[in-house]
Amino acid sequence: MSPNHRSPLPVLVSVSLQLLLMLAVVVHYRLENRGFLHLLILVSLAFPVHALLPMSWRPGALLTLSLAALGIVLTPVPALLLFALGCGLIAICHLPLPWTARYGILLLAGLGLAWLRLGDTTPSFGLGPLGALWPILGSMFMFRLMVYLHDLRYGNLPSSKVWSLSYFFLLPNVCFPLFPVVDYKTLRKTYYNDDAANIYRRGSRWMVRGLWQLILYRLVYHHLALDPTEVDGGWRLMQYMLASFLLYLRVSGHFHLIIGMLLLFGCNLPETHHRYFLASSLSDFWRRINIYWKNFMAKVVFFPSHDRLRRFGPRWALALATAWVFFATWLLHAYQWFWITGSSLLTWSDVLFWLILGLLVVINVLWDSRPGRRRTAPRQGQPWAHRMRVLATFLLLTVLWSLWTTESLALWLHLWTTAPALAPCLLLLIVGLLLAAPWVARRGAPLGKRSLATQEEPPSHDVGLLLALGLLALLGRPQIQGMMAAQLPSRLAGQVATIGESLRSNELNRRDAAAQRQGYYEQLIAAPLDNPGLHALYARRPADWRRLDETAAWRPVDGLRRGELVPGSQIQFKQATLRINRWGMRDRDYPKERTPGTPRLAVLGSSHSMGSGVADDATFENLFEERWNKEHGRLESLNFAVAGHSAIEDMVLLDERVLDFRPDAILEVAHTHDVGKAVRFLAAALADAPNTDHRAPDHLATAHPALRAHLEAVGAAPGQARSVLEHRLRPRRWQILAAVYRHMVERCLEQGIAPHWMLLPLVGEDDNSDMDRLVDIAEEAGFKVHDLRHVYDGHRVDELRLAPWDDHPNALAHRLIAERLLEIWSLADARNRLPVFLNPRKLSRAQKQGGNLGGLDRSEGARENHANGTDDSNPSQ
Amino acid sequence: MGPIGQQIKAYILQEFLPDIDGDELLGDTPLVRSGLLDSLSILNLRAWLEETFDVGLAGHDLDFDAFGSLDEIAALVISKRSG
Repeated sequence: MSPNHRSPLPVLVSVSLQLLLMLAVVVHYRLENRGFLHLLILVSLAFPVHALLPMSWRPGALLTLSLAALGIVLTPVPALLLFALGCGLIAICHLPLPWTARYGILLLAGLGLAWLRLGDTTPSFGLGPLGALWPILGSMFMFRLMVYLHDLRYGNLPSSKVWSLSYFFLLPNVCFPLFPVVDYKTLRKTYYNDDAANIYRRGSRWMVRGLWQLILYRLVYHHLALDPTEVDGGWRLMQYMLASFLLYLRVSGHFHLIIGMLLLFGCNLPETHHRYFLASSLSDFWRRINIYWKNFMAKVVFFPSHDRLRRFGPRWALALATAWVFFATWLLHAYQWFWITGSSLLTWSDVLFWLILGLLVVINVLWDSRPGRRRTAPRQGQPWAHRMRVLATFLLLTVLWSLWTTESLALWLHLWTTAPALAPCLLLLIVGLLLAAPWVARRGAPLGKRSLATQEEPPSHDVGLLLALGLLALLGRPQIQGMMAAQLPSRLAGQVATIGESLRSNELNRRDAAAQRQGYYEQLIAAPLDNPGLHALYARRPADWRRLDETAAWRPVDGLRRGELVPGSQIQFKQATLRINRWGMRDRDYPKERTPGTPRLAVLGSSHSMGSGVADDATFENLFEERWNKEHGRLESLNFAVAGHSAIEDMVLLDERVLDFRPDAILEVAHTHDVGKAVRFLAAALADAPNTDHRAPDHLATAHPALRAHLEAVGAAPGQARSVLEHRLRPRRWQILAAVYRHMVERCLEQGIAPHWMLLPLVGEDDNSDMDRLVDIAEEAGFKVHDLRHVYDGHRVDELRLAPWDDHPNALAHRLIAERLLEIWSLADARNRLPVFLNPRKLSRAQKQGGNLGGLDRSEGARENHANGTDDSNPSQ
Repeated sequence: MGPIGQQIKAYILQEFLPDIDGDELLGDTPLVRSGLLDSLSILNLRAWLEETFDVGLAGHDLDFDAFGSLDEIAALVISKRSG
């Protein structure tokens, strides 16, 4: 019986409603990017229209919709450029030439594009809008051209321009550079090969499954994933490894969404993943995870190579063909990496992961195909043996996955030193489970034969799906979460609120925000965010929204600072004018010599103090200076802050530059990211020391013996791997920061300079524990502390941040900081003839008297959580 | 299902699906998509098809689509015998 292409009205209504609820979920949980939201709106509107069209119109409608999505997400001009390039590549496949000539021309075209892609990563070869399109162009053509050519040659498919174009410009591809390798022949053969109602229901179900997986991924990402530097023992190591594997949920979530969407337009494609966390062997895992990749490899690598290797005998052919598949997979993953990110991928972790996985699968395959063993279909028998195999496979994959996703092999090996007994225990457990499985199998009872009936999508599932989606959408609303939290005890309410916020957060978690380090898939998915052009198209972010060190206003320097502002430069930085004076400060021009009778303040810090993204006259430093001059008399405030600076760089800047300007006071501006940043900077400086030949280790040793003690205590030495150095130094991050602060205070007091320190919260930051500890350290070092953690109270995050994609403080936030600073120091000034904050003698005397300086109590905020007495809580240790 | 399809069905039931009731395996039952056949099974099946029906199957004939169901395998054999 031929399938019914018409869908009953209730199914259309039900699936349309599900799509609307999915939209609500995507909005409430802020899933993916704005481009994806636009795509989902388009799909929701187009689905019922497409389903009601006559059958012969539908392929054309799908193509029109796919091209419309390109235009909407990428905007028309880049979309047309992409379409033209794509048509050129497809045309080469159809040239009336022998196949070898077509392969050759395509290879040349590919090399030409690769050359352009390489050029585009170099600013001087920038190609305008094309730069934004590389990940999408690569994603559409890098693998599908291989499949298309194969099927064109061997597939016996009738030629169709509509299907050729539809295949390459597949509807959701524009929002998902990491895309499953859809098979051309399968796409054509499965088009409405089942009842439309069944296909639509299945598509919707897979999309919902994809959304669930993305939400689960959020939980793992925010609550389970660890920075490797946080691994300090067996449990943490296991958590780290487990999370690195579970993060794959995002890929499978995306793939479910992608294929689900295509099912809504009649492409009855098979599922892309099948319960891969429950694989019972490595070859079973290979069959379950990314099924499209496995099929692609079987089609273009395994079967053809096995054919050529048959002369070596069946087992050799099998082993060699399987090994060849894994070699090709490694190579093609690097090839995919190149097209999407524009950089090369050759790391020992990557090589080892594919080598070990390939080797184990070859052994597994040879074991499965040993003489006398029958190839039977998977059955649900032997439950205990099966479960033990599943557990062993999961553990093994968790270890392997962590190897693959850890930044470097050296770091991964170093992590094991935090729990030396774990490696042999895990190995024994895995081997034990695998060996015990067959023994248990003899005692297990089969559960019964597997049903072969074609799985239909029962209409009753629609109601359940609608209810589940409705509930999910409701739970995503902050008001509902607030109501739920109100019913709970305060401790639980806080946890519910934190989880609710993290589920809605599409920001980087602490480890990535701090270091921007992720695994293979995480980085591929995040690649559009690193591509300014594509990010601009997805999020409507301006294409010139760059980091300071990517602009002409920054240059690298030798010594213990990464870089400095270029004197005399002027640029548009994050859409605001950034002028640098002749001394390399973001400030008006000042003579180096002091103006008699005019006190001088030097401000040090990073982007918040430099004023990233706000106008020259809108930084808090400038606003404060202007207001002070109007209300209290003359003051020179010199802004030495440089975006990206760590406290160590501030310390060096103070030694090398600031003291030459003979300030009366310094104001070191800090926020909680400074804690980890100092360690990361130190690790990078030591790791690069042999290459850059700068004075990092010597400088630290001579100028800062306290730092040398920490470096020696952890065995850190120049030239070691940065990630390993960072891991070793991280437990001492608070002491290192304390040593830096102590040095700054000592230098200031030696020169008769008043050392002030100010805590600025990050926009939206509400975790007080690190702020408390930071304040303690600054105070113990001898700084006069000004705690501005409540400066943004009463304002929403979106009122204070620069842009939805940039959390730096905006002009309003800078005004609030300036007003607060003015308020604090005006109060002190009212009681003294000279501005008290500029008078080191008074500061020193007041500190000796107990730290209270003319009304300048150090903390504006309550400090509920004092640091406890752990090893690194006391900076003097 | 023709005689070739019946022969193939009997082999698949005997070799790969010993626990399955023959009546459940229809001509259009998805074999690869449902996980009943994998690449190793296809290699075994290929050897048997070549021997039984005296046909030569090339590497590019062995994609999962061509072995997607009994009907498709039978169609592949028939096309090879006739062409």
